[in-house]
Amino acid sequence: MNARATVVAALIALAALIGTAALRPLAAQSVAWDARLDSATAVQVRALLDTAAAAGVPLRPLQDKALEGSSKGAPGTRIVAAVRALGRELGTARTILGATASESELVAAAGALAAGATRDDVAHLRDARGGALAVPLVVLADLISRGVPPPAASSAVTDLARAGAPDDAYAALRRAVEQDIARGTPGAAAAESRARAMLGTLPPPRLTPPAGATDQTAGHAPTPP
Amino acid sequence: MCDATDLVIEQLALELRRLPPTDREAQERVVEAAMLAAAADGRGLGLWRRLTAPRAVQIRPLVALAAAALMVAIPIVAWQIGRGTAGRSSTALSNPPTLLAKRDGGGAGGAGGAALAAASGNERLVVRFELVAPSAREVALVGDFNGWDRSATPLVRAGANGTWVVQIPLTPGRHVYGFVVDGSSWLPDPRAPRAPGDDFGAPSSVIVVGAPL
Repeated sequence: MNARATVVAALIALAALIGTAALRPLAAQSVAWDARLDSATAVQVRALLDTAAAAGVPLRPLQDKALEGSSKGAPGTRIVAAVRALGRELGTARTILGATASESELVAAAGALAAGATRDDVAHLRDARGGALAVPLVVLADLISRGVPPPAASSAVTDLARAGAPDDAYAALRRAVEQDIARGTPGAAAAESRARAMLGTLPPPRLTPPAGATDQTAGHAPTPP
Repeated sequence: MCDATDLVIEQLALELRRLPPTDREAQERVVEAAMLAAAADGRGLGLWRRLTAPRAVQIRPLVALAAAALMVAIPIVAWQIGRGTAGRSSTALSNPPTLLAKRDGGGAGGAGGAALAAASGNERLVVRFELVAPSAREVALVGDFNGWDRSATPLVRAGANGTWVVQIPLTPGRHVYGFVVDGSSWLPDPRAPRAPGDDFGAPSSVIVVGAPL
């Protein structure tokens, strides 16, 4: 091999090395995708991803769900069904929470819907809490999955949100209700009593005047001159 | 006139070109001395002189390009390798996930206080996972952060009470995870919220990194 051929071969190898290194995370994800699902399942999941992308639904949670199913040894039909259901719930969550919701909030809302919360439950929580919905939505889903009836779970979480409770309060509510249920307290009673007790410890919510308000009466519509 | 002059010049040149008689022994002595000097250079300062002496170097543009590309590629590859291996260690079953310290990108993160509300953007936070499994031979942490890969994040046994531990940097937000004990038994984190939805028959847990859950 002459010198020029050696240099060209070295350049090609170098380019391949750079490309491999630079694209490694993307490639790893792509390889994980195609390699860990059987071909028929992969085709169906990709079709679901295309549909989700067109609807503005985040794709990563759907890919994760497929990989979770693969890692747990689920059959392809069940993986496809789970991805389809999650895509549907993410689409509903997107409709309820709007375009500004984060991926974590969308997935948490989808989880709450999957657990048994209604669209109204999620919408009421959104209205009561304002922003940063991931933690209350995760707690709502967890309470329902532990046996608290959805109306009672939704009421407990939304009441905390209306009172301006911080994330710590939702976490504390979840742990307390879990302990009560473990001791034999019915889920609804545990959620109601614990939420009521927690509301008593929170400082009164600080109301801010609506935009355009000119008087000092927070929460009231501005009066015309 | 000119022809005569040229003839004289040619004769003179012919005389000058003739080599004088040489002494063969003298020639051999000169050659031997030169070889000895060259050998002495090779044993002593010859290499240093070769390296430090100024000289004109010819380099082909293609070779220069390859060298430049190599200089760019080496740090990139090193960075990627470092990124790929960062945070790989181990985890398990009694305490909920604990946020240890903020970790900015790939930087080092040590144990210490947690600024939960400060987590934002792509800043990574080191989270400690624990599982108490005294009879386990091996425990792995699996979740959406490692592609649900059972071999990606093994836990290490910490102490004699069967506690398995791992610390990994995670991006803020909601993550789903579980533990795999001895390669086959899937366990949720008993102290963390449950992951809703189809869990494929093996319950998982949820953590919201950057929030107290």
